[in-house]
Amino acid sequence: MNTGRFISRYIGRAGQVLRIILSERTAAASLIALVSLILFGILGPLVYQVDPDAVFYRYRVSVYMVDGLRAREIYTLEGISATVSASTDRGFIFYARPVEKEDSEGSLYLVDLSHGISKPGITMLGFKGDVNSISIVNNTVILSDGGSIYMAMYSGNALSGLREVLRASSRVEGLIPTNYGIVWWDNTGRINLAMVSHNNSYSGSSVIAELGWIPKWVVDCGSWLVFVGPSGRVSVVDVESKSVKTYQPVFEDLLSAACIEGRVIVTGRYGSMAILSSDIITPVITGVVDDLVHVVPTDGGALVIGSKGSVVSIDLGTGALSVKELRGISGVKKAVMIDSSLYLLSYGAFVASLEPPSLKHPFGTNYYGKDLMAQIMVGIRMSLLIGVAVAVAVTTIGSMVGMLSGYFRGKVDSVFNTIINFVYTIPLEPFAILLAMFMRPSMTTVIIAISVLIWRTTARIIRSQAMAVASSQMVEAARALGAGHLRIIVRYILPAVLPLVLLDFASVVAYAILAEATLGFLGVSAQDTYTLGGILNQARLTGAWRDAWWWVAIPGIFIGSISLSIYMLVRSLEPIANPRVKESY
Amino acid sequence: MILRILYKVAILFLFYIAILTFQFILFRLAFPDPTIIYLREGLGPEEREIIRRSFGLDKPLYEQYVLYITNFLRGDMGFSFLYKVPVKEIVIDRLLSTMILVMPAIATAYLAAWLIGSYMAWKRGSLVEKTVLSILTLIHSLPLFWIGLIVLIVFAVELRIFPPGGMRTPPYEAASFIDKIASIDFLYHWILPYLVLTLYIMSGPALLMRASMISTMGEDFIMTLRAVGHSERRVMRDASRYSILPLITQLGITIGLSFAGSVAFETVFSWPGIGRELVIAFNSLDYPLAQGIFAIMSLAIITSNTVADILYSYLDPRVKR
Repeated sequence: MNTGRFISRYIGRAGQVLRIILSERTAAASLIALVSLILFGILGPLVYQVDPDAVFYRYRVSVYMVDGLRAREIYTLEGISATVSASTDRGFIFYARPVEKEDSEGSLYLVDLSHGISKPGITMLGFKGDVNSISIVNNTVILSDGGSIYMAMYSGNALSGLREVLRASSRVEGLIPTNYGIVWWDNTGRINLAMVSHNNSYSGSSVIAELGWIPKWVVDCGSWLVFVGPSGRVSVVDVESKSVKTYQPVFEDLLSAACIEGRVIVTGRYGSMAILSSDIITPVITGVVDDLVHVVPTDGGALVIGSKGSVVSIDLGTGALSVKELRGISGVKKAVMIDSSLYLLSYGAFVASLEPPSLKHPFGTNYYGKDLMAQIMVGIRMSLLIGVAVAVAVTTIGSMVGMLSGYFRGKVDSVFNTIINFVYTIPLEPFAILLAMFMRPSMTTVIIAISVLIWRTTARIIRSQAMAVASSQMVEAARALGAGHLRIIVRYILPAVLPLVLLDFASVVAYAILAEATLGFLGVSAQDTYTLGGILNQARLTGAWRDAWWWVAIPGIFIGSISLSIYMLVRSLEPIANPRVKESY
Repeated sequence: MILRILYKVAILFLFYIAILTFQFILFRLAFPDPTIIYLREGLGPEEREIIRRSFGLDKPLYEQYVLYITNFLRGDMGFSFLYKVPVKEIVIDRLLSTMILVMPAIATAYLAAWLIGSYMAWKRGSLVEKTVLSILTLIHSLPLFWIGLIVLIVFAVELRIFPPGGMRTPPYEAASFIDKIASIDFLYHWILPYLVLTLYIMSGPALLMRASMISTMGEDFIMTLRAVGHSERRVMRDASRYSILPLITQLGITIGLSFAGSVAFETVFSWPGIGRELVIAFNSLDYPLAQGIFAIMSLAIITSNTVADILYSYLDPRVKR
């Protein structure tokens, strides 16, 4: 067989073509650009190992001042993860540790807002170990790492005198300073009281109550303490008589409570709230859905703060309720009222949404906190895959139709010509949408839609070339020698049109990548992976395209670069493949 | 000649029937029982049967097919699920919105492409030509909708010179389509998408014109014109006239496809055209609306191509196909 000779001849041709490309400046530059773009998509993930589906978080602690319906950020610490916090009459205190550095020591941060918002006084004090509970009364900070209870003083502008005041007999889960001493509870729900013995030191804890559940929050109402916790549990503990009274309202988990004029407001998850007065517990319908995390007493009522920025103001005299929703704020944990302004403390792991390009995320992140560079690498691969699949289908159908109608002419040609004219009347985007509507959006839908419509151009190009070859003396001679149609097409027509077919293959890849981008942008392309168009579609659907230029610009630049480099390459090869044909897509 | 036109019209009719047949097959393949779309939960078999009968689904398939085709040919394209009005009413309004944007853009773009393409061929090799060529090639290899997005980010979001899309500033009242577009506000919304579309549409034909003109300039008669002593400007004017034919062929195709609007582009600019309406129908699974839009688009394209074909044979008497 001469198949081997055929193949070796074409490999030789390929080397020849490559030499020609490299000898011309534009062609060489286009080829190098194209190859590096493809390598970026294929080999990139080996170097840049980021999961395109992984959601990135950013740890942050922020203090906001409520200004009408807006929460104005007045102080932010990035990269630290806070675990516990408390509010005082002058600001907030919280314990946090750096996220990036492993095993690093955490610190107590005290934010003093009493000097006005322009210069919040920040005080830090290093602390070894994990703080799991913290409380502050006047100038005394008490905290626990679970095993011991520590105390520090806040005077002037500094936290000082951190010392261990009590070694607990069981694991400390929470604590509060009272007039009688430090009340703390452990992980079995046992409430202990440690009294001041002498010289400001504490000794011996005595059990004052057994709750049987672990409180989430406690509030000091003078002679008695109100504990709230899971499943709407409320217990009132009289410290002196050591008596316990337990309520069991039908509630979500309770998170906070406050004593106001002899009544107790308890609040909890999903906007649940109730008022406790003597023996009656009255549920309050707030209409908000976020977790009500903190109650701030006001004149004759309270402001109840939700974790996602709801502020419920309740008047205990009239029972009137009003709600406002602060926008663009979440993770609220504590609130405080200073000089009739409301301040909020929020912390936690926030989704790293719409981060501009940085060293960590070279192409930025999207609305969902996912890395765009990783997505674009997948997108390039998918776009190339779609481009090549379309090109295989299109050049196969197109060159067959082209060769047949160019060789046989007459009836065959006019039938194919009518079909081609018909296909020319079908617009691509609407056709793909209609197809996706009935078939479901997927990569296959896109490949079919583009392939079904684009082979027409290939067929026209190949037809005119085939026609020229078919009427050549070479073919005439072959026919005179008795060669059959098949032999002539395979041996004479095909080799003659092959350079054009290969060139057209490249053009179709470029066209298909552009078309996929458009269809992907309309939501017609694959939904379970990332395509360059699909990434842009997400930018449109989330409405983030207005703010996040990187989410729009970078995928588009890649689409443009790939198609531009292919077009330039094709254009510089066109005179070599066939100087006669000048058809453009 | 009349026979030729009749033949073309017959082909037109055939193509339209083919499109409708394709839609019918697609619809019946996707939904062997189309009443599923109309039914909410809790309907008994008898009610379903009533609905089936009211849509003629109890008849044999070929009768359904004939009914489908004749209804479309009569202009009855059913009711939109989404708008609860006949599909025809929506389609006509949206098609006009598309036309008012696309037609002026095509006209400007082809005029500019003719001039720029000729100029590029004339000044071949100069710095201006190289720059323009690079810009046009770049525009040509970018997706149109993406150019629209970038232009919107720059001019509407950052600089705030132009509105961020739409056809009028809501709320507005308009009794008719003419009423809707006869205002300064409309012009203010129209200008940005018009300019972007013009620039984009221009890139292809300008490159085509340049190529065509370059090949004309290699022909013998140009040398003759020069030899006779015509000024260079005069020679170029003639060359550019002779090179215009491929541009006109392209213009026919472009006008035809313009009836489909540019789906993604209209979506980006929230332009209430026929393409964006198709996306709305797609997202809300409004099958009658989608089919109606596709049928009307195809009819418009087929008709326009046929008209262009007939006109072209007048323009270039060599064409006898």
